[in-house]
Amino acid sequence: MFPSSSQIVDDVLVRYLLGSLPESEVERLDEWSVTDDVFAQRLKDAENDLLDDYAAGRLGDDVRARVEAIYLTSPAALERIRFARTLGEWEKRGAATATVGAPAEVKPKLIVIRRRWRWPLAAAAVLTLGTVAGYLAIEHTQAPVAHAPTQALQKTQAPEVAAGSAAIPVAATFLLLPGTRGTNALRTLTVPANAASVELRAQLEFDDFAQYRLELRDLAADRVVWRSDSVAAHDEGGKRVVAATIPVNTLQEKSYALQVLGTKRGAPDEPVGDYAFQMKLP
Amino acid sequence: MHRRLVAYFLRKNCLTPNDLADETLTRVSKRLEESDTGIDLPPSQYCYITARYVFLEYRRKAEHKQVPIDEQSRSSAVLEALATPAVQGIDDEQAERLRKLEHCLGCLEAGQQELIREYYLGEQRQKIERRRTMAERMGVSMNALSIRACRIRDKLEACLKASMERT
Repeated sequence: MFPSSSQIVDDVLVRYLLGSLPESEVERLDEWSVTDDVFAQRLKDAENDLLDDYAAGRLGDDVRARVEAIYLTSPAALERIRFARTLGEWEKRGAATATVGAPAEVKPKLIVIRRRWRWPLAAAAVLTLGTVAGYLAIEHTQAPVAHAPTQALQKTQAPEVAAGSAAIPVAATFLLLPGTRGTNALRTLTVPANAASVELRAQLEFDDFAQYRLELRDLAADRVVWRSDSVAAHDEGGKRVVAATIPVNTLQEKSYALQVLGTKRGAPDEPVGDYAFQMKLP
Repeated sequence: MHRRLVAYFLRKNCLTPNDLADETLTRVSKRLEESDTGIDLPPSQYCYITARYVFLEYRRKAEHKQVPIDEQSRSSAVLEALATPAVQGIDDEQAERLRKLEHCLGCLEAGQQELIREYYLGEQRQKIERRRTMAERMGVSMNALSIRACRIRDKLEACLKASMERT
């Protein structure tokens, strides 16, 4: 049986890039390179590393010959090799400086980051969080939090309260945490019966953009079912979070992925993170 | 999707990956416009299937295309210039590229320069271990770290390219 995309080891990626895999396997990997976000990213990483190794003269003769046969035939690929060579030169210079100067220790800035992220890591471990795309984990609040009602909620709430109804509509809030590869169970978000909307708050691993867009993707159909307007990240206890509120009637009992995209004027949106979950409705 | 398609065509050794990615997306959007009932496949998969057809057509055409002799010799010259990078010293052009790269690096946000140096430095085996340590230290997944490093690298590559084209 052919392994899934997350089971493909780095050596196979390199053999794929060098055209050394059997045709039957190539086709599957070709497809994932276009359709699977995480696989496409791993492949890009492996390719950068291969070109860096080539440019630095670290490859054996056979591999080097294959790289030349594949990558030195198009202007775009040549440009990438040139860049790899220049980057390698810069790194060598930096490495030499670091050896002469102080030992290349962890920068204080990074220590700060480490401390800042220690809690979510621990939380992620305790919760044994799941991922399908190999990238996300979810913290499910024990009971959905009833938010201070928004204006829209106040409107729907008033008549029900007047009528003595016990079912006061609330916004169920879920915090989605970034996670790690390798697990396969999706976290379930259970929406309470009186929820009129669901607020999804995605904790970012890096906050590199001034604005973000959130897209909710139906995983089975691979289709975007809801899109947010432009939103900015905000601070929540030292962590950067982007949030969006989705009407409950948009949702079904399905597996979804909330995709966070960084937006920049005049540039295509860039994927920042995926947070997959199983939605359970009342 | 466009970027992924470009990478796909590049891996397939196509000389005009951008054009082929454009062609793929044009066909996909045309098909979507023409179809009343929609397409019974996830969009990304439909893009891949279309890209595959575009590639097969490209390959058929390329088989009949003659490569001019001067184009071949130009490729050989470039190949020679690049093939022994570790042995040769830094020539003038490379020194110029390095200066410009340093300028581009100077435009990065705080911490990005350190990140990219640490991420890409060294040989493969060391890299894997170092990246694992980096991700752990920063409290992020390997995939998130990889996305970030690749994004910085892409930014640098574009900056260097633009900078070289200006001279």
